[in-house]
Amino acid sequence: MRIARIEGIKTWNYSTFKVLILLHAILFLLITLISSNIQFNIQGVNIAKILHFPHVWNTLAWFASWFNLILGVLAIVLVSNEFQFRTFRKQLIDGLSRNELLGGKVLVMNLVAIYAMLLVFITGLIIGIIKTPNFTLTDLLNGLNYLPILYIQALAYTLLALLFVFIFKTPGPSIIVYLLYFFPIEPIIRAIIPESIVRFMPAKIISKLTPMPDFVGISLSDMIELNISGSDLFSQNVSMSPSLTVTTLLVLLYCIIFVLISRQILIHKNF
Amino acid sequence: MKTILKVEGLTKSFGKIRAVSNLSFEVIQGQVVGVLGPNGSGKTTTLGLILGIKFPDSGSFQWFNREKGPNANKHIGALIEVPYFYPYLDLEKNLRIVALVRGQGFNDIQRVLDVVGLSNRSKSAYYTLSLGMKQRLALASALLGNPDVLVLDEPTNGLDPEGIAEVREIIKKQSEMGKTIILASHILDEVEKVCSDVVILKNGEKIAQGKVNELLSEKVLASVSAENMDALENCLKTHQKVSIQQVKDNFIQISLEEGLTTLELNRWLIEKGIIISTLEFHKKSLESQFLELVKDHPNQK
Repeated sequence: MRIARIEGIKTWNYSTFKVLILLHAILFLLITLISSNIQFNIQGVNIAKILHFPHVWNTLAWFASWFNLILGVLAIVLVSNEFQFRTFRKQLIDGLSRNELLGGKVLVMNLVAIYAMLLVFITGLIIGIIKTPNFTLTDLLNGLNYLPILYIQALAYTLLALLFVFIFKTPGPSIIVYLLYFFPIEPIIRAIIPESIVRFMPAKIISKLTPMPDFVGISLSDMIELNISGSDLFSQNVSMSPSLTVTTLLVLLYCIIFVLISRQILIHKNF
Repeated sequence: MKTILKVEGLTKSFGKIRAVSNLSFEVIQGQVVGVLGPNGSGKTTTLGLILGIKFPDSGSFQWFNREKGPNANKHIGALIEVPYFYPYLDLEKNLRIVALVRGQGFNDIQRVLDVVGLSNRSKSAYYTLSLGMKQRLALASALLGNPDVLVLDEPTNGLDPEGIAEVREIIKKQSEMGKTIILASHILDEVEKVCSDVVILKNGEKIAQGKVNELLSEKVLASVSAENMDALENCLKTHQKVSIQQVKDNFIQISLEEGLTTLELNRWLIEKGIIISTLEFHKKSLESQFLELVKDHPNQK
């Protein structure tokens, strides 16, 4: 609680924090707004259905995942400040432990990830209610598992950023290496190493959490439902497939690894 | 008397440079210990080590006869080198963070701001302060919660003469209140005015330690000359309260022990049949004494 209050004062009064969060929210809402106004009809494919319950959760989680890098940059800015202002050093002197320093930042990253989740939840709820012609509560709840998945994804993005900033300390190199890691560093590595490992590379596996909605599949699902009862195509996009569960757990594992490496760096660091 | 801090064989290297080398000392409750040394002598590194922000290569230290750890730091008010605060936060919020870190309430913030004369700026953002004010805020932060032990590294850095006098006054008051203070400084005058004990460092090694008034007392120096310089020199050698510092062609530099005045010396020389042509006396500066101490030390690498 003490740590939370300390981080609260630092973060809440920081204008760059507010600006980046606002930027993130505005970009996300803008994309959502644009997508809800697109009229797209090819041979009876109605794209509007991606914003109906339950597909809206997948769609918005996918939109939100585009902007996770902003949250990562935010994480880098927040933590590199502590090195720049040498306030980590001061707080160690004043009696915080190295674990508490790390704990505070991990807490902030969690809150940022919860914010991302809530943003999608509230937007999804409003859009879904407006757009879905008639829906049952089951429809609404069906895709909600994308929310905790998005939370874990945002957490993975920010915790990887945390790791980079503990390595580089200054914001410039941290942000550059962080962004380059997602493209092209990891894609290049993926091209070299064997296929069996590629599936487990962090950026690859993290991005797999929020797959692109199957537009055509969703659009055609009505027809398919009419033709084939209990369509596979439909259920694949909505319910959590086993591979998504495994992926989520793997990303969670990555989150823990990022924190543990950060902790190793911090614990042995001379300030 | 309680031992507040015990340092044993502390050693720390940065690459090939030995910043602190086999350093041992003890601080007793109520002492005001000056850690004195030229720039780069390892003062700040030493304080960094005893505050746990740097890890020693070897050696150990113990606060309050207990295991080290961040909890000890909560009872120590520390100011290291330059002030570190969040530039975008106002002074009060910055001190709130300090209070939370140290596990205290916010009720002492107003008092410490008053002590350092910054209460009228409590709502100003930190970055708007002048260097001197920042340094005062750092001192306020060290005093927050009225800790029994203060560790101060160059606390008058960047202050104007008035500010320096004020800060020294604050430190003196703290020591009169019975606080234990460790003060690192390269300014001899400061150590002499504020401290009871002193540890002198050079190239990370301890070259002297003792009471300030014994180690750094101001001696009276005099230059004498007479027609017969040899006779003068031989005669001066026999006086017990006089020691010859330097023999030059046209004068001899001597130092007088406390109690011996130049008038008495003159009278004594006349009795011995030596008429002096000049007798000039001047106080030897602390700086020159200090430089001698540092220069004489054989351990130069």
